[in-house]
Amino acid sequence: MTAHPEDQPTLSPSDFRILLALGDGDMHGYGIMRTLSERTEGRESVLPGTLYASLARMVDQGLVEERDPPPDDASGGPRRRYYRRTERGRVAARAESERLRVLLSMAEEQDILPATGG
Amino acid sequence: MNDREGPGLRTVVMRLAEALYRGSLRAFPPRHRDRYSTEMVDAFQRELVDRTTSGGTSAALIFTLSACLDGVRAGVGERRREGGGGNRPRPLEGLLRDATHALRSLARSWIFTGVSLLSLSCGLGIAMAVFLLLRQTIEPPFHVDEEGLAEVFVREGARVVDGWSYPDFTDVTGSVGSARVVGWTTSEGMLDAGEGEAGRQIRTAYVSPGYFDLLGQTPPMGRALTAADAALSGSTPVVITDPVWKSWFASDPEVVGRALTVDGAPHVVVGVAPPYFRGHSAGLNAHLFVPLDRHPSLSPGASTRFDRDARWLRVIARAASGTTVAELDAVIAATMEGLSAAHPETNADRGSLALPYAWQGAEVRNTEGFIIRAAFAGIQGLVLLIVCLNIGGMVLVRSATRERELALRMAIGSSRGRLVQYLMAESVLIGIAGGVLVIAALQAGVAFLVREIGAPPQNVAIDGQVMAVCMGLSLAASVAFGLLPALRFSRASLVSSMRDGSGGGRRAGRIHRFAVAGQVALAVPVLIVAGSVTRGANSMTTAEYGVRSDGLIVSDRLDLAPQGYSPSQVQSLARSVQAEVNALPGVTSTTVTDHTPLDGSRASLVVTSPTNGSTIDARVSRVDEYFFATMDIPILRGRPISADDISGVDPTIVVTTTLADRLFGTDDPIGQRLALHSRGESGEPQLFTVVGVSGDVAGAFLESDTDNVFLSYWQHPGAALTVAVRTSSVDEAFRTAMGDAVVALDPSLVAPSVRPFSEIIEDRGRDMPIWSVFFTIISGLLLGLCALGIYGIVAFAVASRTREIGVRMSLGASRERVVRGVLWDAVRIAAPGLVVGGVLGVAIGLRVLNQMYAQIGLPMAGPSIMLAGAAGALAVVLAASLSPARRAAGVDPMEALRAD
Repeated sequence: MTAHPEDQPTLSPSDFRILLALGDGDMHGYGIMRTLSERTEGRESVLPGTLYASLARMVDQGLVEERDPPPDDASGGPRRRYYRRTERGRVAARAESERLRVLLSMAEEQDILPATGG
Repeated sequence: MNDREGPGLRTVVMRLAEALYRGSLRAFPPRHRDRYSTEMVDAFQRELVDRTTSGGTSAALIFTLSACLDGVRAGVGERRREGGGGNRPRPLEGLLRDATHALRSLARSWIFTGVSLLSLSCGLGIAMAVFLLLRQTIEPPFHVDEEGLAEVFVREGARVVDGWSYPDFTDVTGSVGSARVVGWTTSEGMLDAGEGEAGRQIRTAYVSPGYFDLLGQTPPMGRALTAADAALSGSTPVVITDPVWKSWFASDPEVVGRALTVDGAPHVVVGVAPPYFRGHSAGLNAHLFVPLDRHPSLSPGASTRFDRDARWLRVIARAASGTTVAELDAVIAATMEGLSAAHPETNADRGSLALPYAWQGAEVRNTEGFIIRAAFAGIQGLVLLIVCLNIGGMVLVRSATRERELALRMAIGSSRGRLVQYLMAESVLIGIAGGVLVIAALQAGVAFLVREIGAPPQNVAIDGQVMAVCMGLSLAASVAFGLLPALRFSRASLVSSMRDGSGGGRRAGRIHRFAVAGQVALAVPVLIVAGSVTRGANSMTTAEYGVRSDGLIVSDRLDLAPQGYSPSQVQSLARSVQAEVNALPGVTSTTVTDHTPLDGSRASLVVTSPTNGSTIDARVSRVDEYFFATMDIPILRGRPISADDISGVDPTIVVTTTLADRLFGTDDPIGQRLALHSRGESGEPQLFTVVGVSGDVAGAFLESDTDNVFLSYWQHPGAALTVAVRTSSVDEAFRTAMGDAVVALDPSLVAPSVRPFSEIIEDRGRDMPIWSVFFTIISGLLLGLCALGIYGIVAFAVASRTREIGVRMSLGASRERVVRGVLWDAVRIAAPGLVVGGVLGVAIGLRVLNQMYAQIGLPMAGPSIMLAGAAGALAVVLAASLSPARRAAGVDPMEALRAD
């Protein structure tokens, strides 16, 4: 059954960021931390405690799934799990984005944010 | 991490940071740690290296701190998520849930709940009764600030006396700067009800301006007396007390401004004193407060206003802010020195002495007050300790029998804190219920006192302080008896409890023994004290009074000092009264004295034998030559006071037989010398020659065996006069005639009321001191408390040994043998307690009893009471164990063996 965005509960800020950082690929925990920081130019970050608590929660909720590391994983350290955003996770992220988009529109109407023209 | 090693300091910092971070991960639940901690530490390490590389050591430290805090926060959140199925439980929900479970559990175990509640209520009731008793007997009225408050006495050479003359008082008042001095006195009078209705005898307190302010008392209705009242003409302004407002004015809310007549003089109500206030000292018990200037001795034309020899006033004072009573004493003493120089004819040898105020009078110094408070606190502490042992023992055994349940709770995820909260909930609920029950009982008790005696005793009121103390003690007791078992059984090992099918067994047994033995050890001395007080209280109503009461009529005591009588005038009046009353028809004998037996206002003097140094405090009465014959008090040796014992003759004294034995032993007291002086008085005491030994006479509380001495009224006239008559007619007409005979000699005197001595005995028997009633109740409650506690412990212990009993019976033990076995076990458990308690009883009981009896005059405890205390405890142990023993013997062995 396809989850409809309107039916999705609100994501916590950390869950939303992690889902966005995961994108459509497989990523390990540290990679998520780095991606989020780099893609937001350092404005957003997540610490390991919050990261792995969110990952554990989203795995239970079916928003994220655990994956085995790829054969070319060369961390040099202990074996790491990889995570992938599920379809359900994608829908939840989309729903959250839609909610934020509405709020952004309000901000643009009030000139709090310059209009993006999009 | 080999490829990340850097310079030494950085390495140390990083390793320290890693250790800290690993520690913060302990906040996560074990399942999460097992699964993710390696990756978390790996992520932390990588990020730490990046931060260190880009920002240096400081950045690394900041990151470490942030990561650790984040780890703890996330870990706690993850624990909550795992424990609550994803929903964060609210603290209040957990408390309510535990309270609900506790209520259900207590309702199921109604025996345990009932016994615990009853034990706690009894013990708490005793503790609160002692608290109220202490407040009534030794604590000043509410809002009286004792700091800097003093009673001021007059030194007459070596003697210290109460009475001040009015001129001396006014001189001192004007000389103390910002300190405040107040004069007061009392008199008995008649509150007139009006035409054809019976009046009511009342006590009026005459107080100088500033009395209420000095004592911090604010009338809730109207106003206090002020200096301006002296200038008012017409009706005398009066502040009435609460009992008068309630009984005479029917609690009229518009009482201010209403009129009343006292001794024929019009008065008007200007205020109502606070409900608990009837004067600043024990026994004052005023009904009305009137300005001092309205006292007859200060009426226009009265010479006492200027007479420095007429000493009838008493004085209290408050030291100036920042100064002490000692400094106030020095200021007043300096004033008195000036008066000595200015008025050598009257004040030559006169000084002053200011002593710290005490509710029971300045004679009760700090040391004695401390001892009394300590004794009372000791009783409270002992009682509450017994209660906590009682209930704690039961809770321990109860928890031991629930060990499997508790272990299962821990196995399915309940933390230790939650278990402790769960177990404590039951104790706290019992504590709350016990506190509420006792408060309700106290309020009912005070209401009962109000109905029976017309007013609550001063300071006995169930106010906010009493309720707070009651609930505080109750909750403290509930924590005391609940916390130890809760901590103990919240770390129950799953393996041991699952393996041990009897659910407690040996662990409960050891605790059981300790609880019972400890309780018995505490109960024995308390039983000794309670038994002694009960016996003493009972002896009050059955004692020999030493006086033949039939046909004996006694007048009220006429206080003549306020009337301005000098000692010689008192003697003259006494002789005239004696002659007039003796001439009345039917009179066979008449005596005048200042105090009759049972008069509680007699002063005490220190009586010392110069021969052997023996010293005793004795009550003093001044009597005429007809006293012993009229009272029918036997003279056992020597002679009574005679008409020849007058001024100028060697002072004589008659002592009671018990006092003679104590002072002189087997020596003949006749002809011996005794020295008398007031306690605290320095200088040469006055010497008396013992001329006679009389039978013992009763004291104010009907106790026999008191120490009394009798002086000659003609050698040492007091300031008071009481007439006692032996007559064949005791009817109302005679009593009126007797009172009228006194007034005929001096119309300014109020006719004293006259009543049969037997009536006084009945009243004293009925109006037992509050503490007698309290101790009788306390002793009964104590016995009940011990029985309840022992019953509960033995009952639960038997329940936890059901299987063992079943095994014994199945092997052939008879029911009688089972009963004997349980009883014998209970005795063996209690035996160490009996021995320790007996020793404690002798050591503590004697000391406490000595002090209490010195204060309230009850008979001492003897060896029989000591043995009875130990025997009583043993009897309670056996009686309380009998029912559970029989229940155990009634168990079906097969059922017991099948029980899990």
